[in-house]
Parts: sequence; C-alpha cells; structure tokens
Amino acid sequence: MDTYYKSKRTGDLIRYSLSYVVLIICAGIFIFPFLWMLSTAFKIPSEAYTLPPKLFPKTFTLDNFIEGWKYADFTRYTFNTLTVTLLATLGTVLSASFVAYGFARFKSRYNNLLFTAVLATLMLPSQVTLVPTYLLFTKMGWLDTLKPLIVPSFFGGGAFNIFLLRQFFRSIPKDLDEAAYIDGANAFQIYYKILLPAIKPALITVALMSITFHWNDYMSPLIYLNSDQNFTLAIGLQFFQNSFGSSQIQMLMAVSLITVIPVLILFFVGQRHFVQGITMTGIKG
Amino acid sequence: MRRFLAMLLVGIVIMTLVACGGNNTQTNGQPADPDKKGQEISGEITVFGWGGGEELQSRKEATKIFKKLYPGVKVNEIWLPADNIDVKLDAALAAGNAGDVIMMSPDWKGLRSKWFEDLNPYIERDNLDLESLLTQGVDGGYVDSDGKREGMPTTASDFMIAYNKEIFDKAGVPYPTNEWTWDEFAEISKQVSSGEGANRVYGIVSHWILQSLAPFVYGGAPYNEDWTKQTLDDPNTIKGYQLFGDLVKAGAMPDDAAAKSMPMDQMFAAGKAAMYPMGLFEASTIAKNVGNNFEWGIVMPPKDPSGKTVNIKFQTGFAMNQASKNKEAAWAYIKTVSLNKEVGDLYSKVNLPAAKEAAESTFVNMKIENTDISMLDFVTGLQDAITFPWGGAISKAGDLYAQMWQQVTIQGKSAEEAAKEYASQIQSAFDSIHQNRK
Repeated sequence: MDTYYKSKRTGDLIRYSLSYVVLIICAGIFIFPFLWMLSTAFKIPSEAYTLPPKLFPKTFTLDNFIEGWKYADFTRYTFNTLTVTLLATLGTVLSASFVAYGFARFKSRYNNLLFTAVLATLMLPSQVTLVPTYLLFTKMGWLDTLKPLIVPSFFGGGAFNIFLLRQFFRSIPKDLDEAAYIDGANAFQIYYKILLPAIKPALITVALMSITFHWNDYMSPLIYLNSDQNFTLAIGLQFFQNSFGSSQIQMLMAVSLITVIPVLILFFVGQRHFVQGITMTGIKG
Repeated sequence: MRRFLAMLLVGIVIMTLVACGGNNTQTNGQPADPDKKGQEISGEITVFGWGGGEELQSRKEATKIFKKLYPGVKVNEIWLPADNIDVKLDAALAAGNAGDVIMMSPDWKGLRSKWFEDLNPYIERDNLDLESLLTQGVDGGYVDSDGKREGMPTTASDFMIAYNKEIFDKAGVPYPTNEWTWDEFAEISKQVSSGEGANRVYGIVSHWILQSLAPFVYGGAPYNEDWTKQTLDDPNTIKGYQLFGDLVKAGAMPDDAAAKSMPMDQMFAAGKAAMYPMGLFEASTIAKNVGNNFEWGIVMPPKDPSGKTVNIKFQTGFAMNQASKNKEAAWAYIKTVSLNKEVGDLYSKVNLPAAKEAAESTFVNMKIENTDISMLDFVTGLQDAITFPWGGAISKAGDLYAQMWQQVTIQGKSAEEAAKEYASQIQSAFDSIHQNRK
C-alpha cells in the first residue's frame, strides 16, 4: 500500500512539475514582448537594439518618457481617451445588461427572432456599416466630436456583451424574481436590485473588455475625429510611429508603457471576476 | 483724321487687352500681384492629408505661406496618421466632407479619380508651363490615360545605395560607382559580407524597397503598361527576384530570422550591413543614426542591361475634390504648395520639392549631417525612376507579389517555382480590378 502511495505521489509530482515547466515556458514566451517593452523604455538609443537583445539596460534613463510625452499633446489625448473609455464602458454595461435582461426574462413571440437578429450583427464586417454610420453621424453634426465614440454604447452595448449577460441571467433561478415580485418589486427593481448584483462577475468582465477595447481603439477615432484637440492616445501613438518609424523605438516603448499601465492595473484589479465571468458563462450557458 | 482716330482707338483697345491679359498671368504658384490677386480669392477650404514628423510639419508650414499669400482664404486642416487612412478617406468622400483639397499619390493609379476635379483647365487658364516649373521626374503618373490631370505634385523621394566605406576598405573592395550593374551589385554584396552568427556583416540589408526594385533589375517589369497583364513570369523579371533569393542563400542579405532581429536602418548604422537602399525621406534619420560611427557615401542604384538606372520613386501631391464649393481657393492652394519657391524651400528640408526653382537652388545645396553626400544625385535619380508599382488600386495584386517574394527570399524556392505558383493568382487580381472599374 505504502509503495502504491509513494509511486502515485512521485507520478503526481512529475505530472505537476511538467505542467509547471510547460506553463512557465508559455508564460515566458507571452510575457517577453512586454518585458522587452518595459526594458527598452528605460534604455538609451544605442542600447535599444543589441544582439542578442538584453533585458536589463546598462544605462538607465527616464529621458524617453519625458521626450516622448513632450512630442505630442499626450496629456490631452489621455484625457480624451479616459472620457471615451469611461463613458462608453458605462453605456455598454448599462445597456447590454438591460437588453440581456429583456431577452433572458421576458417571453414574446419574436424573442428568438430578435435575439438571432442581434447575434447576426456579429457577422457583419465593420466595413459594411462604416459608410452608413459615418453618414449618419455627419448628418447629426457629430463629426469631430467624441459623441460617435461614446453614445452608440448606450444603445445595446454590443451583441457579444448582450449574449454573454443573457447567458448569465438565465443561470439565475427564476424563483428569485418571483420572490421579489411577491414582495412587491416591479420588473425594473428585480433587474436593478436582485439580478444585477447577482451577475457582478459578468458585469466586470463586460466592463473590462469594453475598457480594453475603447482604450486601444484606433479605427473609430481615426474615422470620426479630425482635430488634434479631440485625438485619443491610439491616434497619438500612431502619429508618433509615422514620424519616427523604428528609429526612436525606446521613446515609442516609453509612451506605450505609460498608456498601457491603466489598462494593466484595471486588469489585475478585476482579474478574479474576469476569469470567473468567463468560466461561469462557459459552464452554465 | 477719322482713320487716325479709328487706328488710335484700336490701338488703345489692344493695349488695354494686353494689359488685362498680363494681369492674369501667374507664375511659380504665386499671384502676379500677391497683394491684389491674393485678396480676390476668399472663403473657406478644408485640406485633408496625412503623415507625420518633419514632413507633416513642413506641410503645415506650407499652409501658413499660402495664408500669407491669400489672406482672404480660411484654411481648415485635417492631418491624420497614415495607417488605414484609405478607410477614412473613402467614407469621407462618400459622405461629401473629405475636404476641398486632398492629398494623393500617383501610385494609387486613378483609384479615386472619379472624385477628383480635372486640373487641366486651371493650368491652361493660368498659362502654367509645367515642364519649366516642375522638377524633372516629379510629375509622372498624375495624368490618367484619358488625359485627365487628377493632381499636382508637391514632393517626391527616390533611392540611393548608401555604403559603409570602412566595410568596403576592410574587404578590399573598391567603392561602387554610378555606372555599376546589378550583377556587379550582387558580386560586391557577397564580397563585403563576412563573419558568422551574431557577428555576421551582410552585404545589403533586407529593405522593403528591394522587392519593388527586383522585377526591373534585368529589364523586366511586374506588369504591362495598362496593368491588364502580369509579367512576373517573364524570364527577365524572374531573373530579377532570383538575384535576391541567391543573395539570401549566399548570406549576403539577412534571412528572415536575421532581418527580424534588428531594424534594417539600425543594422546599417551599427555596421552590420555594408549597403542600405536609402530613401531620401529617411536620409536624415540614417545620418543621425550613423553619426560618427563610420564614413559612408551614396551611389545611384545599379543599371539594368540597357544602361538605365533602376530606381523607384514615391510621390506626394494634392488633388481637388470635385464636390468642393470653393474651387478657386482650392486651386490656389494646390498651385501654391506645388509650385511656390518659398514652399519648395521649406519642403527641401525633408524631401525633393516639386518646384524646380527650389529643387535646383535650395535642395541641391542641402547637406546631410556628417556626410559629403550630394543631393544632386537624388534629383538626377528621380528623372528615370519608376513610380512605386504596388500602390492604391493594385495593392491587392501587390500583396500577392509580396507573398511570392517571400517564397523566394524566405522559403528558398526558386523564382521560377514561385512564379508558377503565383502568376495566375496575380493575373486574377488584375482582372478583378479591371472588372470592378467597368
């Protein structure tokens, strides 16, 4: 018996060790570009490209951050990006959860048809809708304002988010709704007071995905914005790259690092809920 | 007496007409009488362009010069990054708010011609003799096959081969001259290569322009004149890109892994490559990167078997939106940024100006830091240079050609094999472009 447990323990140990070795290698591969960005941001130009690449700079400098930031009005771009990201995320979370609640809890003759129509929008390439939406926003006088980047989020919040939240709502027993209804709650109160707190991990998941998308979005600002005062960080970084190509990579990495930090912090803060949100959707869908 | 008075009257009328005609004549993109003519044109225009760095700065400065000449015109400027600008431009043109003056390049090959105003009538009206006003070679490709002029040039850039004198000296190889051929180029590239592994010094960097130059180096071409037929399977064309496949195999040009290990400009600046096909647009950056590391020079790209120097040019100009509500001001802007000497002087700092006067005086006297490079070579090089062959309308065919190039330079296939695999696909791409245009 003892031998059996001993060999089982050894087997487990080898299995776990192997798993960890594979995971560490994979993590190393995935994290290398980030570490390279981090180290390059603190290097002097002559050290930015060395063969083989060195992770730790010989001469440590902060000049890249100062010079890079001064190149364009990155402070304004950051403010614009923050405005767009926060408001659009608020809109996405509110409206997607509201629509998803409708699909999950209310029966109607056209429920399935409507839900299929919502999902079908996922198949539409953005190029197809680009010109009509551009024309629409032009007619509304919204061109070169932040409105086209924010307001649409308040109207549905995106098919994928609706799908994700609907699956979550469906995983919550209807008994909760009924109990609340007996206690005198109306449909909105059930949504707001009972169901929303119950799907917090999913809401955080949607919020994190929305933040990452809007923070990094390049195409929409490019299409709808014209003037420097309205530009976002993604546009600013692209200008930077157009100007210097790969010749000032250390400055580009420094500015990129600053812009990526807020998203990173948010991800680490919400990581637990994010993972929980994704796995629960998969299991209970 | 009556006859004398009649003659006097006719004389006065003729003199008046001549005087009036004289007032309308403009040269060099400036109003004949700036104070007067500049004030006649008024209203508002929007200029739509893209780019970055010093080049973009010079375009903004050019607008300031225009404003000085035409104080009655309010100019709104839209400057955006170049990446994916096509998507924005298409949407804006469809919506009718792309601006009055739009940046364009002749390598788009009439991609947006339907949106652009024919500029011929304006040129004729203003009696502009473009041949005497424009730098030779800068104007190619702006006139469509049907004679419509869809834009006016502002700047251009061509290529020289920069070489590291120290590597050449160490290898005991004489410096190249403007008369060299591509066979000599290949031989020299191999001779100046040395070392192994991380210490390898390559003959030439793996620059993206080489794939565009390749079809032409033995007198071939990627497609026929009206781009209805691909000619990448022509024996001379095949021989062209086989040359570069052979250079990679011989270790004279970095393979894929080596090319990705370091940006090509840094590779040259760090003394890890003996030659670099240097565009004018990157000359100052290269000079800055090289600094005092080593002595270097430039030479024209090699000649094809017919004795013609093979060079590629990138051109930038401006077109007028047909939907413009202020075409006079739009034309005044286009003319100014294309032909005005002061604007040309400004452009000279970053590119080869379209205004001949500026190119022949200011540009040729410009200096690249730490070098004795003559800018005249860039002016001469432009004359026979081929407009970038894979832009705009035919970029999809260009994407397929890029895959074909990779088969030869990365996968190590023979050019003939790659041509067999890709020629028909590229032909289909050309066919579909022409079908869509019908």
